[in-house]
Formats: sequence, structure tokens, C-alpha cells
Amino acid sequence: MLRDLSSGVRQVVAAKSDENGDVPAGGAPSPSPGGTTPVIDNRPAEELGLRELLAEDFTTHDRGLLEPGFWAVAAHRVGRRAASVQLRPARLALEAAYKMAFTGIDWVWGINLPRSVELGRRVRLWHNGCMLLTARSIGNDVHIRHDTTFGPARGTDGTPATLPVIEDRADIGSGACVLGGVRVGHDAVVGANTVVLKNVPPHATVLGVPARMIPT
Amino acid sequence: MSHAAPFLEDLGSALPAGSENANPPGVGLGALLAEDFRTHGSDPLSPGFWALAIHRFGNWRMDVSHKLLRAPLSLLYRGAHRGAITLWGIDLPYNAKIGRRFHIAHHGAVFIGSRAIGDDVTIRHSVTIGLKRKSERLAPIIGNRIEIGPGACIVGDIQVGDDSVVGANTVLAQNVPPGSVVLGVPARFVAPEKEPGFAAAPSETAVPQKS
Repeated sequence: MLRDLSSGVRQVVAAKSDENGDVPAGGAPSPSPGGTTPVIDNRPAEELGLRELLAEDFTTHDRGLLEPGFWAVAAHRVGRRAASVQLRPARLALEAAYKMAFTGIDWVWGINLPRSVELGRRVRLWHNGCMLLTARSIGNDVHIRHDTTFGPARGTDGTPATLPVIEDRADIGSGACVLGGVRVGHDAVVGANTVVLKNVPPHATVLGVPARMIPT
Repeated sequence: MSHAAPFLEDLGSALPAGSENANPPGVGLGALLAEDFRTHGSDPLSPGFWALAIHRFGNWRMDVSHKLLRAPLSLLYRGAHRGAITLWGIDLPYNAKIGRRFHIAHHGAVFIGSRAIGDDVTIRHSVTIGLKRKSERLAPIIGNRIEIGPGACIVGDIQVGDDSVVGANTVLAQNVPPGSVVLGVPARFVAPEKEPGFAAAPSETAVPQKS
């Protein structure tokens, strides 16, 4: 169910951005000098080889080997694939390595990105510390900063329907909380320390506790 | 409520002196730690549990009255407390009184400098409980069954009534009656059904399998 919903979102968003001719805000290839529209590869992460995917994530994180965000995303990518490894000893070793990496990254850098999250392409995690990113899905080219919380609202059980969906190219400021089964629309901006408890329309900018729309 | 003398020379720790064991009465250290472990989802990798265990140990050692016998325990407590701050960012001084089944649902940038916390209180990451300003030396008193969202700051000589909810990123510096739900900077009362609060303790759900 999780996969179906999220991939549906991705297709809808991809279709919309094709109509509008939108160009992703971050991590996208720069327009070629010939003036032709750049073709953006938005295939789901699952369709790419792990090495190809990690190379892209590394580039997204400014090719910094000490970027905590890169390692958090890398652990997530490996964790997603660990379960589908056929050879049992290899799978168990990979699962153990993932568990260790996940805990280490959570403890040392404070980035908690569970592998249950449907993570898009070229997601950029800026800075580290106090990041709890239990979303249902995070789209392509989303930028997330430190101290951000995605999670279920109070009194809900944490099933996928109660978790937020972050659509493509959303920009999440530091300290922001997105809570409950809400949707942050594509190209939306969530300001620093904002608490989002309701849907944010595409291209909107929200700020405040609780979040209010501000004119752009 | 009365304020402590707000003189600058009065500056010291605003917390109780910590000269005695302030763990919840009527329960031994072992049973208390077992309960705390269950509160933290029986997860041995939960930083919240370990930080709380260090806090309980820091109090328990105050029952050892002989100074020479207590010295190595104090050294162990101080090292462990510092370790929890450095590794996980959880600063939970032993002389901040904490009730039973206290739950630190996620770690990082947590500072708990309250005068007293009741039973069944849940906090999350980036929660600060402490002084309003340097010259006002009284910290909050937190009641029973209170939920505190990530990023909340609860400061000053205030009391938070039982069964209240403090929303995410809220700055609370005023008394709150029992059963309140507050959200905002500064905190405002909200109807619970209108603003459905903040993150509950997340659990890693199963990885979706390829069919």
C-alpha cells in the first residue's frame, strides 16, 4: 500500500512538472549551452543500480566524504536493498551492517532516516543533528535541514497513512516539524521552526507555529 | 507564585541541591530500571533509556552515605552523564527530580533542568526545560501524563498541569491548568481537535517488499 500510494504521487507530480515545464530547484543538471531543455532523470530510485544511485547522492551532497547527510542517505539506500538479496548469509550480513550504520548515524550525527521511508532521488540533507525523518515518502530534489521532524501526529499509531508526504522539490527549513498524514506540495517552502499540521499547497511558502501561508 | 531572590550574586545551580536520592520512592533501582527499559520500548539501543538510567544511578548513589565509598560511583556517574551529553545530546542532571515511566522518545539537544517532573511524561528531541533568564532562578514544575513535542521550550517559574500537551516548537513560559493543549511562540491554547498536536513516538515500520 505504501509503495502504491507513493509511486502514484510521484507520477502525478512528474506529470504536472512536465506540463509546467518546471525545473527542479536543486541538484538538477544545469541547462546545456545549446539551449535545449535538460532532460531530468526522475525514474524511481528502485530502478537504478545501487552504485549509480550512491554516485548521484554523493554528487548531490557536494561530493563531501564527511557529509553526514550523504552517509544517512547511503545507509537508507543500502537498507532498502538488503531485504531483497537472495543469498541468505549475504543478506544477514547486509542487514547487520545496515542496523549498525543506522544506529551509528543516529547516535553520532543525530540523523534518523528509517528505511521504511520512500525516498526520492537527489534528496539533500543539509547539516545534521536532531533529524527524525519518519515520513511516508520524500520526493525528488527535496532539501532538508537540521533539526527537522517528520512524524505522526499525537494519538496516531504511526501507520503509513498517518505519516507526512513531502513532494518533489520541497524545501524544508531548519527546525521545522511536519506532523500527521499531511502533504507538503511540490516546490513548497517550509520556513525555519515552522510546525506544519495541515496540507501545504504546491509552490506555497509557510511559516510559523502553527504554519501560516505567507505571500511570496 | 513567589520568586527566588533575583540577585545576580545568587547565581548557582537553579536545581535542587541533589544531596539525597530523589528517585521515585517505594521502588528499588533494579525494578525502576526495568520499568524504564519497558517504557523505552525494551530497546537496548535507545539513547533515552540509557540517559535515564544514568540519571537514576546518579540519584541512587546518593544513598551511599560514606564519602569514600561514594567517590568512585560519583566519578562513574559524572563520566556517564558527560558521555550521554557528548554522544547523544541528552543533558539530564541527576538533581532534576523525575517521576516514573519518563520517556525520552528521541535524542538530541535535550536539556531537562526542571524542579520536578511527574509520572508518565513523554519528551522528544530538542526539548528544553529550564530557566527563563539568568536572574530568575526557578525552573518549571511539570505534572503527570504530559506530552511534550519536539523543539518545545518550557521555561521559568511555572507549573504545567496534569494531562497537558505542549506542541512542537512551542515556547511555554506561563502556568498551564490541567488538561491544556498549547502550541505556538509564545504558547497559545488550542482546541485539541483543531490542532492535532505533534509527533508521537515513531517506530520503524516494515520495509515494503517488492512483490
